[in-house]
Amino acid sequence: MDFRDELIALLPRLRRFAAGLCGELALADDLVQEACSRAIAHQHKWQPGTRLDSWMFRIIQNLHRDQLRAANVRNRHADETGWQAESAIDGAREMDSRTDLGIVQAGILQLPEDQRAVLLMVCVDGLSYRETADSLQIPVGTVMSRLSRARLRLHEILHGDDTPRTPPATETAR
Amino acid sequence: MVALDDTTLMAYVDGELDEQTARLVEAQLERNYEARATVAKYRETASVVRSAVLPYGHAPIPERLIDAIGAGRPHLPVRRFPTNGGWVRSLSAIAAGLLLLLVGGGGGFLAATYRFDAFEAELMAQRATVERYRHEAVQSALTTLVSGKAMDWTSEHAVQGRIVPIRTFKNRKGQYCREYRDELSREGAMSVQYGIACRHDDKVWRNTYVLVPSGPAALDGGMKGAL
Repeated sequence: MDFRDELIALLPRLRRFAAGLCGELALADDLVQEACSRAIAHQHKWQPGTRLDSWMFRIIQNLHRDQLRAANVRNRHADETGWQAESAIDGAREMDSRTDLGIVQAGILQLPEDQRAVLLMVCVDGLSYRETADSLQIPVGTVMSRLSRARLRLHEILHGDDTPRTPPATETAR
Repeated sequence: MVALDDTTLMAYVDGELDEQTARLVEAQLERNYEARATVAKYRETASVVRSAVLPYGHAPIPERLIDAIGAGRPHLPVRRFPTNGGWVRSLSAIAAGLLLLLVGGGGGFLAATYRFDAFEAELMAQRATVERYRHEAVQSALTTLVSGKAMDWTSEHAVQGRIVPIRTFKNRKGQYCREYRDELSREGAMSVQYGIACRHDDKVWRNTYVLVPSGPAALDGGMKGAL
């Protein structure tokens, strides 16, 4: 399969990863598009036979982190997280579950960027700790500590354990 | 004894522990309420994150993304329907499947190769007919079926197909577009591809994209990732 064909086949997963990182499909699409042009420009650096998905995840995560640093972008509100696109296809989705998913999405956005990437790679894309570590070029131990902190923090956010629930970053948007 | 610290419990939940360690952890979990609660936290968060993020992957892919990837190459990765690329590949896949059967039958490699060539030539001759059947099935299925329902078709050459609309959306031009699964089989050999066709003003569904998943393992499970 040609490199570009493989990229196209990966698009749904890349968009999902990017949307999980930035919380909004439209932003995710920009991110994925930029990542794909970079990948095509640096195609020679990718070794056929290794996992293209891991490589792309790293490019996307680096791009996103750079963007965050450069623009000091504030996370967008969960209300804007692409439900429009989703509801256009899946009209039958129930209101309740939509609200719940929105809370989870907002919770994920409250996590530090590095933890979020690891969380998405392991919990959504099913990469092993080792694959995640290789992809992000960090030690396995770092993957585990980030992943663990991300999940325990998310649990706190969702259940309001001891910590008072942090108001969503974009309350002002209403 | 294994220390039931947070990351060990998490690795247990994520299936990252070897069999023996996992069993040791399980044994200790039985009498450790606190550790069980932590395990539940890791389980729950994995599952809620999955369900919150997975829907993003089901949204229709904007054409600009595919265009951006396909730009600057002599031919797009995507085969428009009437061209023969994907179709020939499908037929070759079926022929290859039959080749295996022939070899297994004891015909010997040379005989099998010869018969393979002959068979492929025959298939090529039948291509136009089969393609017409498939085209009609796509038109009819996309026009009349709700997503998830299948339309089966059979050509006179024992080639069978099935078209299943998967999802409907509107593109930027306001046309209705449908993603569909396109199966083709002959004597037990099967190939699958996915297409997106949009309905034009003349009421004809024309394919915008056809994705042919690679590799035999892609037959079903791999496909979910393809679109």
